Amino acid sequence: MNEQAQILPGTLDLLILRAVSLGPLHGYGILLRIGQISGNALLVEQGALYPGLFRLVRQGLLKTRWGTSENNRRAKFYELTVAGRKRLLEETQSWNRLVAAMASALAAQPEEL
Amino acid sequence: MRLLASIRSILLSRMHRTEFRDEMDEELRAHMNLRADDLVLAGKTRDEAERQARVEFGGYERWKEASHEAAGGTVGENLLRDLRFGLRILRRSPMIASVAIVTLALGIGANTAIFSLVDGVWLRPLPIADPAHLVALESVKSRAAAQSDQETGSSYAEFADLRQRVPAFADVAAADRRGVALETPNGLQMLLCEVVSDNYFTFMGAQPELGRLPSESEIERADSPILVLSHKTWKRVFGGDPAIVGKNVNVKGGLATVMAVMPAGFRGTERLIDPQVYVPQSSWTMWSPDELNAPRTIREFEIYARLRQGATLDQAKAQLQELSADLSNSYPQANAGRSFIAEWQAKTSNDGMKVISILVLAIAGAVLLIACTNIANLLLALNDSRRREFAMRVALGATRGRLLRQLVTECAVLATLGVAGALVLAEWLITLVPKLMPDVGFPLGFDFRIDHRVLLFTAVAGVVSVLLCGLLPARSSTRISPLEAMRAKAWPGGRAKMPARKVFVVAQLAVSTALLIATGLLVRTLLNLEAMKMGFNNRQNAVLLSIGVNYQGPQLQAEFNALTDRMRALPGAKDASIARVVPFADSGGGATKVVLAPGETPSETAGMPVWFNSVDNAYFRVMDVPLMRGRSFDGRDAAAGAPVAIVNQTLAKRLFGSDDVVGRSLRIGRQNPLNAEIVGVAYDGKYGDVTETQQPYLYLPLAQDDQREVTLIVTTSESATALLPAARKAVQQASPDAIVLNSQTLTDHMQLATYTNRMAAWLTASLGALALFLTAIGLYGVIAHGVSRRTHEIGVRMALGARRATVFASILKDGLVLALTGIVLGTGLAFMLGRGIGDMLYGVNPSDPVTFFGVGTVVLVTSVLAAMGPARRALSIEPLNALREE
Repeated sequence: MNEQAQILPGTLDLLILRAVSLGPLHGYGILLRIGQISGNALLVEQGALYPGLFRLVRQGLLKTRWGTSENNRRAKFYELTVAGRKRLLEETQSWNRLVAAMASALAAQPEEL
Repeated sequence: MRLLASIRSILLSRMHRTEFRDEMDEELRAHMNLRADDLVLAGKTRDEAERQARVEFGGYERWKEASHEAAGGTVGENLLRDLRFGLRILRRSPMIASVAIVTLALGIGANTAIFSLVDGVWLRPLPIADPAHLVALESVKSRAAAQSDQETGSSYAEFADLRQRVPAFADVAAADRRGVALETPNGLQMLLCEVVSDNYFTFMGAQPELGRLPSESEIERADSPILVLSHKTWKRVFGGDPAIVGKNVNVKGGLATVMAVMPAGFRGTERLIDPQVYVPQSSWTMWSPDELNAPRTIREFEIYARLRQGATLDQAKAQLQELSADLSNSYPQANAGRSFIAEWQAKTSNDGMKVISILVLAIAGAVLLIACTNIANLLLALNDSRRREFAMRVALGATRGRLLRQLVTECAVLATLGVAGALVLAEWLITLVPKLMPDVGFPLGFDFRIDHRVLLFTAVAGVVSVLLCGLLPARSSTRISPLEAMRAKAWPGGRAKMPARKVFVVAQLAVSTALLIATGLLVRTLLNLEAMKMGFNNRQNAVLLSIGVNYQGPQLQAEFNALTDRMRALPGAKDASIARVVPFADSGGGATKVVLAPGETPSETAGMPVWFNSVDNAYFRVMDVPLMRGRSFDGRDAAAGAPVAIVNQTLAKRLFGSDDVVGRSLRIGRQNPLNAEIVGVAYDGKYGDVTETQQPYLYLPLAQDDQREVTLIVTTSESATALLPAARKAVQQASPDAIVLNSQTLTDHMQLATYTNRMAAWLTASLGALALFLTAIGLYGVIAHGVSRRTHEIGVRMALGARRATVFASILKDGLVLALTGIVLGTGLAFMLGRGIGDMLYGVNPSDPVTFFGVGTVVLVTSVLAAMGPARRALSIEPLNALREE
């Protein structure tokens, strides 16, 4: 077993939104960004990214345009829509609440009960 | 805004589907190129980098499909994609897919073929106007002791009464099957003729294909006999002559004018035969005027009626009761104790056939059930190995409904292929049917075909199969907690999920066992019947020719002698004889003579009807009928000699209480009996039906009892089949006027006697074998799957020192437990089934221990063989490898 963790179901969307919120990115760039911001601790199978991207586009959270990558390849770039930015905020808050609750639950000592 | 984006995305994916796909391709490829670029920077060669990029990306097609799905296609598009995806999955497991398709094709194919048979003999509405409201009439005699009293037809005089005196009936029609000899350029040809009441065509509401169907009054007033051809006869005998209507044809007995040709498929009320010509009664009596006043006791016509507007069947039944009472007062000799019963024709048609049809259809249904459970098990195994894929898709947001739809689509793909295979199989089976039919000497009219009704049945069977074999595994396979499944291996270890599969296999084993037991019982019945003493030598090589001869008195006897002499001179022929009938004639026991008991006073109602035969002097020798006492007929018993008779043991005992009756006198006839001296007592035999109780039987000398339709029996020491054409030709040469009505070997004739039993045994045997075969596959699959799931466990056990024999035994034991449970349940099922088919059994108890035990052994051995393969595979597991796989 290595140190990387499998992504929890449903969390990929949040990661994508977060990655894109820092600036427009193409698919591969999003992967790199997720690796970067998670300290390479989260593992996403590369192809698995795309269904998530397409779903977010369909939900109107992301918009796309074709552009050129740093090394001159044609690539499709994703960026947040207004709705996407709003959703990211909501999801982040709800995630933090969950983490806090989980952490406190797991840290609870018998005498605190 | 979001809604708009969503709609745009969907529209985009839909309207520009190919562009959308191309764009997606471009995007995904760009991703891999970008990754490769990075890897090159990290020091790999371009080739290596590209390969690794592809590997890291994962299943390209799969992610493309998933992306497309996420982008939101339409229902139709999703379906198409599911189909493609399903086909790909099936292609990836060709073994499982082909086993499933073949299993389904066998199961549905057998059902389709059998349904088309049942449809042909029973279900399909008759091709006449308003078949649902056709009423069938029967005349039944209360307390009918002798089988000869059990005929249910009516005489033509009774038909006239029924037509005039039952107000509830709008109209009544009558039909009877006869033979008519037609002169064709190729010589005389016997045609199966439906002699019908003059109103028959109007009654049936039939439209001709050619010509015009004459009205009733027209037929009555016609100067010459009228003939209506069936479509097949028109094509076959008259070469489809378009100008046939109005032409005169020569019929034995006179001329007839062809009035019309019926359309293909028309056969009146007949289901099992296909009449070749139709002749109205008025025309028929022009050829045979003596039938104009046929006695009321000759009940040859089948009667059908239609209710008057507003009348009910109950009213008709009440009026029939009145009429029956009237008739038995007016004609006590003919009608005493008889009454007419009426029922919707659709309900009464051929009860025996109906029972067999339901039985066979039920058995075929059981086989289909086995096929479905097999496929369900296969799919469970297939889906188990795809849990990781499902888990991934759930993790990526696919709903359970989406997965279910995917699985059902896969099943539908399987079912479509299976149904296609089934139709091909059924079509082939149906073409086999005519070859399995007995040679009865006239065109059997079983109309078996794959029409829209059969197609509908097949489609329903297919859909039900999909639901049965697809939904069940799909339900359990999609109940996935994504997290759990993602973490787990391809399938969870241990024995989870097995119960459903085991239940399926046990059910299969139970049904197969029950089916095979039923088969065993029917086969034993058949063996009993074939081993039964028939009272004559039914195993010798002989040919039977039924012939019609148009002479009388001494001329007729001379003709008979000439014929037998000619036959004996045939190369290979041993001996020859002529008799009115041979046992198991088409008409069963056939005609009767009334015999008076000693001391009984002759009267209109006296005596008992007894089946009889008129035989020449060689009959007892040729047919090998043992004479218990007295002598055979011989030269003394000529037309001018003293009347004599031979009785069988049962008749002797019935009349005199003993079979020591040679020399006693027998009275034949009701009111003016003829005294005949009993010269011999013949061994009891079977006469009308193999399963009949012992019937009284009377033999008269052919010389003293003129018969113009007789059967010529020629025995041979060589092949009877080879003798057949020579014998037929010899009859034509010896007596150009004689018509060969029918010719067959004794072996074929006897096959006919046990035909229903043979068919029942054959059908259940083939279905039973199919069931056992499918069950063995099922059992193999379940055990094999169990072994592969337990590879790790077995490896551990072996590593801990378990002996291979112990492992082998434990796998076999799994199989044996399933098999024994199934067999025990199947035995219980067979007890119930046995009661259901009790009527079809002969000389064997429905719970016959030999059959039960034998079948149990067969199923057990088959099960052990099926479990053996996987058990041996378990033996070859290398503990180290098995552990490393973890």
